[in-house]
Amino acid sequence: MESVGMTVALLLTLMILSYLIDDTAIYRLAASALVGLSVGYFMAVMLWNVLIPQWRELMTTTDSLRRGLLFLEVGLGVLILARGVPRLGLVGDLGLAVALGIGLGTAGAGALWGTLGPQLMAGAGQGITLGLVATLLALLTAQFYRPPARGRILNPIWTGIQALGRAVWAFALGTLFGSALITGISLLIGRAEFLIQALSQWWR
Amino acid sequence: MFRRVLSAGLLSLIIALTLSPYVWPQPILRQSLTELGSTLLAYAAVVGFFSFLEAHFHRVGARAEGWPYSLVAALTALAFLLLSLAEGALRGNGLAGPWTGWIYRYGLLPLEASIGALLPFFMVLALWRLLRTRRSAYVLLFVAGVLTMLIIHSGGTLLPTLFGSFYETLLSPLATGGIRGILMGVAIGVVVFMVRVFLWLDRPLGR
Repeated sequence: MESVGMTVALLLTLMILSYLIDDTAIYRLAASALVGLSVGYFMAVMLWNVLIPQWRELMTTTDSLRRGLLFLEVGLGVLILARGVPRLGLVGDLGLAVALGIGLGTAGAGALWGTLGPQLMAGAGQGITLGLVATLLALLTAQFYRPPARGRILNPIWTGIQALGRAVWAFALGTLFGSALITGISLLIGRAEFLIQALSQWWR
Repeated sequence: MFRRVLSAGLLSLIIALTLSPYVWPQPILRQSLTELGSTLLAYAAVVGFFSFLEAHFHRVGARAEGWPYSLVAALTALAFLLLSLAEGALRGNGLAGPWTGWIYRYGLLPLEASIGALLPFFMVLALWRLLRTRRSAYVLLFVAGVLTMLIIHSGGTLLPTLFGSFYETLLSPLATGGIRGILMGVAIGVVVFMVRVFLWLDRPLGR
């Protein structure tokens, strides 16, 4: 089974890497298989890690409070499933409103207590540094605030701040791009190692 | 009208309820809401899965351009799910079976890693095109940022040592500060969006 698997993995790797020669039908077939397998895998994870354990627990639990919560979850889930049927769109909206509300509330709380608070403490906790100035410039360029009136003095100052902020953005995004490039190079090395290993096994 | 008000009102109520355990610690409520959110995401994934299949089979039925790729995508998704259901019926968990494990190990992982391996080529090409089409100080700073990371992580050479003190004094605070500013900007955007939905200024469920 393992040798068949290695051959399949080798073929799929070569199919994807054929994109380096040209955008061929072979590459597109492999890319479509990747999309399909990813969607199927995600669905299987949701089913076996979330939905089925809850349905099983609903059948077996004796705790009435827990059973109530599980009923609520299944009920709201059915409302979301009803959204797939156009005639039942209204009830589907209610389930989606609950899901969206929890998502937005959690994201907002995460942004407030998980990002803004710690980043403010880390940035401003060391006094006025180059890092703090860069943070302020990057934030000002995001244009959450714009001075209401612009005079002869204020206008060039504001334009200068914007230009400096954009420069900070460009450099910071460049470093992020560089980090992603390094990650990609690591993956490329990994694939090259796999190809050498698989091909050398084949020749033996 | 009634539909909109009902959805928006429920949305505001749930946002307030979700935020409350962060202000007034209630671990059970927080845990229950997180569980409810993940469950509803799973149900939404079921709807998404069926609409994925519907869209691709529709393309196949209409013989739209590139329909064989749609057929491959839909069939592989369906086949993986059916296989996991069959293995789950036999073993109790559809993700721990040998066949799904085999497909994951020799199908999904090599495909994902190979697509990732193409990433440097795409990125270098994009950088080259950017340099050819737009020549400004910002583009040069962007390239400087890319080069900084490549130099600092060039293991086995003397470059990180030679470049180290300059990086630590000037470039690292600049990059860290800039990324911190971008992160905080995104966080402020998320909070503002949440507040706008809460106050009914934005209605994501409106039609």
